[in-house]
Order: sequence, then structure tokens, then C-alpha cells
Amino acid sequence: MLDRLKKELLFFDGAMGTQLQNAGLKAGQIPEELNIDDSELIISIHEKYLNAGADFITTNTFGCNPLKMKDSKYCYCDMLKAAVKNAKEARKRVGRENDSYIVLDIGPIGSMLAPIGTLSFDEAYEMIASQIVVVKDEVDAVLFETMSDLYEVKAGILAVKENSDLPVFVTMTFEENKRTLTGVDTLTFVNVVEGLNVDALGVNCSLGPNELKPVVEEILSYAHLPVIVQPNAGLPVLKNGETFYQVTPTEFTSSMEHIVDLGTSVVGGCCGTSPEFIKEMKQSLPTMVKVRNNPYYTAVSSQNQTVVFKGQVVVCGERLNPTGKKKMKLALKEERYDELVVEAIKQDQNGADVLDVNVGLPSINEAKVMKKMIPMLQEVVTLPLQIDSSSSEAIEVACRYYNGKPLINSVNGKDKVMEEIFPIVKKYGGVVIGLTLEDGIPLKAEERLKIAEKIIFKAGEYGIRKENIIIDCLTLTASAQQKEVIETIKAVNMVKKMGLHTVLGVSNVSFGLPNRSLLNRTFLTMAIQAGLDLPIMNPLDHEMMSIIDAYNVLSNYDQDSVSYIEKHAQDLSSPLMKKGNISTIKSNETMDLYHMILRGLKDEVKKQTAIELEDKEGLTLINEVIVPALNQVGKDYETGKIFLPQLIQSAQTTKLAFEVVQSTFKTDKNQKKGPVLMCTVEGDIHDIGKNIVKVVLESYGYDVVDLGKDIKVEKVVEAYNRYQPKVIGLSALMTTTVMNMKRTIKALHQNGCDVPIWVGGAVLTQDIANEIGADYYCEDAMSSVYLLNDLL
Amino acid sequence: MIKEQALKYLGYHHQDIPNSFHHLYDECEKEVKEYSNFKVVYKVLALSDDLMIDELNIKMDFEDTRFYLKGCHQMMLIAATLGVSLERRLKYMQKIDMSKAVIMDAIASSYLEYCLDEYEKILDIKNRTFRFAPGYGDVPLYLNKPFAKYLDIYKHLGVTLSDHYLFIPQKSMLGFIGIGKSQKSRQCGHCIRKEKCLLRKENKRCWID
Repeated sequence: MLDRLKKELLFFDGAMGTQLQNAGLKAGQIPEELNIDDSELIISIHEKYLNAGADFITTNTFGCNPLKMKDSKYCYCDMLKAAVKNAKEARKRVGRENDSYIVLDIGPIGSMLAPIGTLSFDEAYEMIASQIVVVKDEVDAVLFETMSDLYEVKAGILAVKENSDLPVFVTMTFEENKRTLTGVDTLTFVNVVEGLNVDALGVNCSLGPNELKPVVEEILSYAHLPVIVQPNAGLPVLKNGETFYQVTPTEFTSSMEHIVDLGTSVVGGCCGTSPEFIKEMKQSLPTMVKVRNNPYYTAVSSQNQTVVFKGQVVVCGERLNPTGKKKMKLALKEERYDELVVEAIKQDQNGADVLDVNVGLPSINEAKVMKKMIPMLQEVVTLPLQIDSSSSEAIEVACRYYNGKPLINSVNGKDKVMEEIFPIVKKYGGVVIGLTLEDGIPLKAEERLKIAEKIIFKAGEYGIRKENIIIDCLTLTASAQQKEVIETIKAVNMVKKMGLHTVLGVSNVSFGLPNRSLLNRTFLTMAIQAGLDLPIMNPLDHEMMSIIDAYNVLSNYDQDSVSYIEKHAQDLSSPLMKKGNISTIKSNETMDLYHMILRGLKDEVKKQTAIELEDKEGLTLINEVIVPALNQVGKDYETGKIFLPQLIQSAQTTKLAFEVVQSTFKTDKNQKKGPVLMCTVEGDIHDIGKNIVKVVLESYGYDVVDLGKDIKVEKVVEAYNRYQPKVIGLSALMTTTVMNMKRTIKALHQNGCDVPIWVGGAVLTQDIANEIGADYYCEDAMSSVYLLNDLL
Repeated sequence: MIKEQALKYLGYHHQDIPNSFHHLYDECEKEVKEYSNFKVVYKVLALSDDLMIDELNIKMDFEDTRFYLKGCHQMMLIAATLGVSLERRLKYMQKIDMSKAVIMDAIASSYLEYCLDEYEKILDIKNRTFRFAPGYGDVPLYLNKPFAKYLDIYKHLGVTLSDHYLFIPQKSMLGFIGIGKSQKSRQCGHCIRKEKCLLRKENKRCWID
């Protein structure tokens, strides 16, 4: 089959659902039950498609998973088996057992995967694996179709590959904006699923063949694998809320001619199509596939964004790495991962293209932390990530739970390391960094080049193309190995000439010397000129970033200097203009800390706090300025003088002022009140209310341990035992999740928790709080502050 | 309209707002619109005199629906979302700037209602009630499940329901509109928040007619 796929134009069947509706399927009826209840109907539909010329028939199992079939009278396993039996019977009846294929059809699970949704990656994997094992010996391939979420696709591909030897096809559904409903673009789709080693990829549903053309054109221009196209019978037309398809088989076929002419390998139909569509296509379209010779490229992807290395400088943010960072080490040890997420966002805001993630600390389980960190980062940041670890176990775990095609840092010239890491790179589809060292770093450029060649050769043995390798020629420190610095530059140039991309950790060059920034900037300029593609550096260093902006203009990568002008148009103005609004700065010059807190001026508060600390002791400033200001804010909110956003702005401003003051104390922990444990309970995903309370409590100096949202009962109990909080706050928005609040409180009490528990949320009242066993109910953030002030 | 409603959600009671807030608000509204991808799906169902939807085998027999849907012979189910990218952006903002996140969250809720109102204007539904939704009044939230399935909101909107009938992404909604003789105006006496609603205490309403 796979040989035929590369050469012959092959045909899928058309819609199953439309045929079943025509046969009388009612709304609310479960189509998969017909595999058992009316097998003759299903067999006859397959037969019609086979007779029309389909090479592949898809089983009637689109929604046949444990979750969607929960309400069915049959077990999903029995329906899967029956569906495959029906397809086999149809094939037998029409005598096409030797030249047609049965494809297990798998549609979306129907539940959004975490971190946006609540279904975990492992649960999705298990669910799909449980479908595969039931029928793996009876089908010829597996098709994931109408997919919208790339993470679910990844779980599916792994589930098939780790539980069978079946070929895997994936088709996703794109909107007219050329993205899926979860925001996946065509390049990201191709880059990620090709990396995951599928056998064919493509599009189905949502639009007709005409409207799908721009999507298909893009996919065909990126893909190296066979492409499948299964459009609807035209654009759905809504009449009274009912969907109709109006394109005829002849019109459909005529539009498909262009799609086939571009190099599509497999065609079929989705909603609204029938055996007539397949028959017409089979009769009219060519028999062979037009060859595409797309070039291979180096590209890394997140869930909805891809960075292609095409000569421009790609900045990898280096700051998510505890090496030499006291605060980050502590955050990792204390599992305050939110602080790392904030660091990621800062780098994103400052123009990083990719973010390095390194959580290596001797005292922590790196693999475990990676499994938590990667989804947390991907919940909010859409930049591709670079998985950075010396532990192959941590790399494997991070690659598995990463949504996209990651950069992997790294392998080197040692056989043992390559033998460990290359299988991971191949399986999960990453771009790997190859360090030019073996037993130490060679001094000469030529020797480093030799190691690069060795890495490329060895990677080839694992089926990893050279486009999926980026070579690190290794920056040496000028203070220790001055002579060899230039060898690195030479090596970059030589590797570049081999047609490879290069990476360097730029800031290493200046260790131990004064004015490090100057050396870093100069080295960066030299390296870029020699061919550096991927500097690993600090994106918050404005001057370093400016060099890259300038380079991208002068090398014609920033077309019409659009990005440069946007970032640097203000550079030549007066120094005051750089910071924005002159009038704000002037007016704030006379504003004291007290009034800054009242007005919530968080951008300027750190500076003003430092100024006032020159005249006052830290504790005096807190007692005489910050606390009175905060009390005034609370009073203003209570009396309705200010409203919620102003309260929060003041709270954020206060928190920053506190941070400055606390940095002057010898121990900062002792100054805080608490700890206070908070979370949004199991089943509830609305956590903005809890987050508001958290911000305001923190501004009052409370040490809040925030467990997050949708926190299982046992996790709260576990956290209670671990953190020994002085008070616990639980939040729930909906009536349906208040019951989980009750369960959480009960479990806490059963486990010996005797600290006060307070609750809040839109539907809660004092009565409900009493009923579920809570000690206190607070209506909003300020009343929570007052309660805690009384309690602690 | 979007701003008026968003300010209500934020608890605004004609306080003196500094100009800087208006600038921040404008920035937030622009960002919400930039990250939103409004999608909508609807279907019309027949409703019997005793408020039975035969096609789904569901009886809309609740205090609120008996009041609002009486005299209606059809019911439009309508669902909409602002999409996943906005969801991600709102979470992003909550990590770094809570005040902006709160404003954007309120704007997003208001903007979703606004987009739906505008969409309904195009549909030009005659003799309709206002849009009501499961979870309000005594109409149970669990109805989201059969309604979402019937509308196939995952396929059309990319929206799923959690086990507790909550929409993911959060800035999504599913409502129903009665079509027929009843055109009862909107009231808030049955609202779940009626005891603690500050607007109600001031004889104001959370919606804009």
C-alpha cells in the first residue's frame, strides 16, 4: 500500500454520516450503534464506495471512543469489532479483498486536552490506544480525521505506533483563515506530523474543494509525504440552521483536478459527498501522482507557530535556566513554576523567537519537572521551546509532552550520547543541537568540523536528516582561552559552508572580564557575520537585540525594515521620549509612594520606593506609607470610590513596592504572613476570581501558595500536609462544582486539617458555605483580606 | 456598547475614572478583538405547547422557561465562541498583569455578547424572546450537554464541554431563543445571584436592552 501511495493516485471513500442520514438516521441517534443494529446498511454503503472505485474504505467508527460512547447501549470495543467486520464483509462481497484497504477511522475525542482543556495527554493516549488494540490485526491503516488539536493528533500517532505496526494517516480540518479551530497553521501541521513519522497527511471537511485550494496549495508546498484531500461537497449552506451541500459530483471533480495537478496523492470526500462523487473522480482524474520535489528545511514548531531557519537570526532566550540564578533555583526547588512562566513571557515580550528550557538542579527530578513545566509554559506562550538537559530521560519526557516540534539541546560527538538521544529525536521529531566536542573541546576549527561531520553521519543512520541538526561550534571564554575564541568563529563559517545551521551560547565569551556586554555584542556581530543562525542569549539585553535588528535590515531579511522601524523609530528622540509620555514622568516626579499606590502606578513605583528608602528604614516605610496607603485603597473600594481594576492596580503596585523594601531585609520569608493555601476546586476551570484574591492578598504581605485550577481533592490534601498552611481558600464558580468544594473540605477534615477554610465564588452564599462545611465565606477580595487579617 | 457592558461586569458605579484607565481600557479592547475568532452555530427546533422538544426528547419544563417560552412554537439553539487564542492570551495576561487581565476578561464577555447580538440582527428573527441560557434561573446547566451535542459545537466552534458542563475555551456560550407569540421582557428575579447582585440592589440590570 505504501508503495502505491507514492506513485498512484488513490481514492478514499466519501461521507458515511450523510449516507446514514439519507437512510433515516435521526438526530441524537448514535451512528456507531448501527454497526451492530443494522450491519447490512453499513455493509451496503461500503459496497457502494468500493464499486465506485474507492481504494480505501473507512470504518464507521468516527466517534467510537470510550468517552463519546459512554451513553451507548454497546461497549465501544464491540462496535469497533463489528465495524471492521462490516468493512471486511463488504470487501469480500465485491471481490476486492486484494486491492482495497480497510482504514480504522478515528475522529476527535470530543474533549479538549490540557492545558487549555481538562483531558490529560496520557488519558487521550490511553483512550486511543484502547481503540487500536481491539482491531489492530484486522485493519490496514489508521486515519485520524477532522482533527483540530495538534496535541491530540500527537497522542494518537504515538498510541498507534507504540501499540501496532499500522501505517498512520492524519487529516486536519482548516478554516478559511488557513488555521484549524485551535489555531494550527498549515506549516506547523506539516512540520510536526512529518516529524512524528506518519505515512500520509492532509485535510478533510469544513470547506468545499474550491475553498480548500489555498490550504491544500500551502500543504503541498511544505510536505514531503503523500497528501490526502477530502473536501466537503461545497461550502455548507445554512437554511434555518440546517446544513446543506450544493456542489454536484461533476463540479466537485472539476475542482479536484487542480488539486491533483498540484501533486495530491489521495482524494476522497467528506460531508455531503456520496459514491457518485468517488465514481466521477475515479473516471476523470489521472491515475498517477504528480511528483513534488519540495526542498527540506530546518524548522521548529510550537502548537501553533513555526520558526523556519532561512538565514535570518533566530534568537533563543536563555533565561529559563537555573545555572547562576539564585532566585530561579529557589523557585524550582519550591515548585513555584509560575515564576518561570513569567520569565518566559518576559522573553517573549522582548522579541525571543525560541525559548530554552533547562530545569537541571541536583536536588530535583528533572524528568518530573519537565513533564509539569512544558505544558505550563505552552498554556500561555506560543514560541517553540528548546528542551535543554543532560539527562536523556528528561529529554524524552519533555519531547513526549511537548506540543510541536522542539529543539533538543543536545548531542555531542560521543557515540554513547548519540545512541541515547538520536532515537528520541527520530521518534518525536525534533531538531537537535550537535555540540562539536567529544573528549573535550578541540582547539582547532578543523577538528570541530570533523566532529560535526561525524554527528551528521551518525544521525543519518537513524534516519535523521541534516536539516534536523544545528551545530554548536562552542563559545570559549576569552579570559581563559583567548586564542581559541576566533577558532569558534572560523568553525561557524566552515560549518555554514557545509550547508548546516549553527548555534552558539553567546554570553559565555565574556566570563571573568569587565564590561561583559561590550564583548558579548562584538562577539555576536562577528559570529553573525560568520554565519551564526541561532544565538542563545538574553533577549532582555536591548543592545544585543538591536544588533540583530540591524543585521536583519542590512542583510535584507527584514523586508522594507518594517520590524526595525517599529522597534527603533523612537531611538533618536530625546531620552525622555524613549520612556514614553513626558507628562506622566513629570507629574510623577512630584508624586510620593503613598499616592502612587493609591493611583496604581506600577510602572514607576519601584524607583520611587528606592528613593523613599534613602530617607526611611524599610519597616518604617511599610508602617508609615505602604500599609496606610493600602488601607486607604481598601476603604475607597469598600465605599465605591474606586472599582475592581483600580483595586487590583493598587494591589500590584503595592506588591512591587514590598519587593523593593524586602530586598533590603536580610531574610525575606519572615516578613510574610501565612502561608495561605489557595485553589480552584476539582472540575472548575474558571480561576480568575481566585487569582484576583491572590493578587490582593499578596499586596497585603500574605505568602500565598497557589495550587491553580481544577485541583483534585487528594492534591489539596497532599498540599495541606506539605505546606502546613495557616488558612485554606477554595474557589468555585458553578453550582456543579460546589459539590467538589464540599468533598474537598470533607477530605481535609478527615485528614486532620483543623485550620480555617474560607470559600468564595460567583454562586456561593453564606448559606451554601455553611451547608458544605466551610468555616467562612467571603464575597470578594477585600473581604478575604479583612477575614485573614482577623484570623492571622 | 461593549465598553458600557464591560464596565458593568467590572463593578463600575460611576466612579471618577482617571484618563489613564480609559487608555488602558482601549488597549485591552483592541487586544481582545485582535485575539478573538468569533464563530457561531445555530439550529431551529420545534417546540410543542407543553414545551417539549421532540427531536431531542427534552422538555423545557422549568419555572423560567414556562414563563419566557409560553406561546413559542419554535426554539433556536445558538452557540458561539471567541476561540482558543483569546483564551491563551487571557491566561498569559493573568500571569503578568492582573489588572489588565481582569479588564480584558470583562471585555471578552461583553464582546462575545455583542458579536452574538450583531449576528442575531443579521438573522432578523421575528417574534423572538431574548437569549436565555442553561445555568441561569432554574434552567439546569446539564442541558448544555445535549444541546452542545446537537449543535456539534466541537466541529463547528472548536468548543468542548467539561464533565461539569463548562465550556472550553471559557469565552463561549450556548443559549436559546423562543420564537413565537411570547415576547416577555427580561427579568432577573430568578437569577442565581439575585441575593448578592449589587446592580439589582440599585435597581439596575446587568444587561443593556
